[in-house]
Amino acid sequence: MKASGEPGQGGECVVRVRVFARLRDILGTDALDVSAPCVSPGKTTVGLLRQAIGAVAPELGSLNGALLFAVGTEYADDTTVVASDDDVACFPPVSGG
Amino acid sequence: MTEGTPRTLPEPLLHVSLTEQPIDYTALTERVRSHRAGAVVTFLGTVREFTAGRRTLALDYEAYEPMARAELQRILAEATEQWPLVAAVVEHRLGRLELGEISVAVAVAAPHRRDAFQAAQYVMDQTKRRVPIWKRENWADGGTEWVHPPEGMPQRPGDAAE
Repeated sequence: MKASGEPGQGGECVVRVRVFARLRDILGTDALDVSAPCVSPGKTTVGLLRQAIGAVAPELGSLNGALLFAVGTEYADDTTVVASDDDVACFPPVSGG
Repeated sequence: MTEGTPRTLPEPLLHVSLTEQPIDYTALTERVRSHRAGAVVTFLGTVREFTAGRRTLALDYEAYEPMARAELQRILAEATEQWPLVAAVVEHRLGRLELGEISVAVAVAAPHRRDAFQAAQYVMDQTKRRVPIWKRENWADGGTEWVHPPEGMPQRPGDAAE
């Protein structure tokens, strides 16, 4: 896996990620533009976004590994490919009910 | 499938809602009642005062609303695939809730009670496990705290082994 900043097949992709609950409180914003290496033109993966968020917010600590991602309105895993214009959300484990 | 149930039921009535208004569980229950049902199960989740000995003043709920609605719809669809249902509805409250208020309501109608009980339990269990809604405790002894269970990826429908 390429380190952040190393030129990939298309350099860096920027994806807007909506964040919720404790993650939003920690980051102090409800959406952030995450820059991650591209795996193909204009596309990256959830795993690379997770790494990039961990790099810009080391205060997340172990929460980073527990964060859940959604693309559109469905859960995604670290291998899910994300386009720059996808609706991406990231949040801690859920606690409704 | 329960003995004696016709194999082809009409399309069940399904409904999901996220609301900042108090949940009218009487209206919700009436919504699923039907001559085709012999059993109606309504479950209410309510705001509990004490958790592990610590006193709560109120809970704040928030959701990623488009996904929460989509996930609730998927859960109801899964329930209708597993049990012969006449109707299944789920409403979840958002915003500030005081002690005793209803945070979530599930109502299920089926020809027979076993299916209604099991389907209601499935809908509630999956709602807690998968739907992107979070609660924040407002403690009586001061401070607020998001409730985030330690589990990682929620179990997917295929993993549910209950």
